Amino acid sequence: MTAFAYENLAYPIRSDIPKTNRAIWDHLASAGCWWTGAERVAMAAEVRCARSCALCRKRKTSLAPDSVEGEHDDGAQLPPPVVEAVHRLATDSGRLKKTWFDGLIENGLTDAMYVEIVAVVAVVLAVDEFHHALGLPLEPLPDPIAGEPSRYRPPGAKPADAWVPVILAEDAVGEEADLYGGGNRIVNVVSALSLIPDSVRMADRILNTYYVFGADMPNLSKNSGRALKRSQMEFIAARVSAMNDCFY
Amino acid sequence: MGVRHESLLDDFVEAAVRRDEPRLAEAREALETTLGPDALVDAAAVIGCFQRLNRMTDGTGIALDEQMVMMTSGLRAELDIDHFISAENTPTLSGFKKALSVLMRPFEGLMTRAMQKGIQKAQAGRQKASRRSAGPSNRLPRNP
Repeated sequence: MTAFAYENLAYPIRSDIPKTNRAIWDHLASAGCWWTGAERVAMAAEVRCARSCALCRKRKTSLAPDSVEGEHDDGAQLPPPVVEAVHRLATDSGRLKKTWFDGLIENGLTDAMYVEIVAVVAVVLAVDEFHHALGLPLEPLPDPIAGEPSRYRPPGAKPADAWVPVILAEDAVGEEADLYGGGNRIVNVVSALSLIPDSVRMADRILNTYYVFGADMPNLSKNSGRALKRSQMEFIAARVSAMNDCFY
Repeated sequence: MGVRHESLLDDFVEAAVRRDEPRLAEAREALETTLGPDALVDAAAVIGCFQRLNRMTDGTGIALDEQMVMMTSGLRAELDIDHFISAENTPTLSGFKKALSVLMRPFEGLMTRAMQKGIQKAQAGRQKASRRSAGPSNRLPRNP
């Protein structure tokens, strides 16, 4: 069966959406820089598990989520720091703190391993939340593709105004020369996942499909031919971000 | 001046993010009836997109760009978002820059537009460059 078939639906889905979603699923199922395809798919399953996790629910309603102790309801396939990272990112990302991130690093994750987890959680949420908003069943997760992680750490990544190193526009050279298209000015969020360069490449595609084309983004009068006005899209973006307590 | 069909969109987003299923079903139907099925799909896509972007920014603790911090102090005060925990990831402006940002408030709209133009130019460069360079086979393909 083809993934993201979107047949016999009440709503016509733009043809670029299933194409992008299939690319996301292929990307998810393949080995990344630090995790195998099987581990990445297991993280995706944890994103779904987090929604019904009792500990996550308790923390979400607590004024001090870090003080609520307990164990996550999980599939038990991944090490505890990975499960903790996935669940918190999925359910309470707006209240994460640097001390929480430092704790994960103390418990054995590297900064690059962590960034890859963020990237996986983020793409799974994009697809799942799109389906949920439309009342569609969640797409079955892909079968993992065999292969070893590349263990590639981009040499241009360095400490910046973030918890993790990033590749600044002027350092995007060599293997990463294509990363920002040679642009010398990017907004910080574009570089957020650059410790895992393929995540930045995938990010471009997701934005172009789920939001507006990159070239139209800074011009708030352009809507890339969508059925919504750009002001309506920005309103939705602002409401989602406010509800997630996202300052950025 | 508000956003057209703001309350319909607001209902849809709130219900989706809060996972209030009965309200979401109603909001979906209302949105589809008023704005059409294509708009409904686009609205759902923007929700997905920003659920993702919020994790990217808050999960990596990336700071808001300094220029943006300086140019949006009035807007942030109006929206009352400076108290968000994720605001801690953005360093506070120095005394001089803070004073400057207050002085700049009346010109925020103008400066944002100027910055948008700059970014737009850079984006056009990015698109041009990505069209020019077909990446090696181990790279993810660019959006067609």
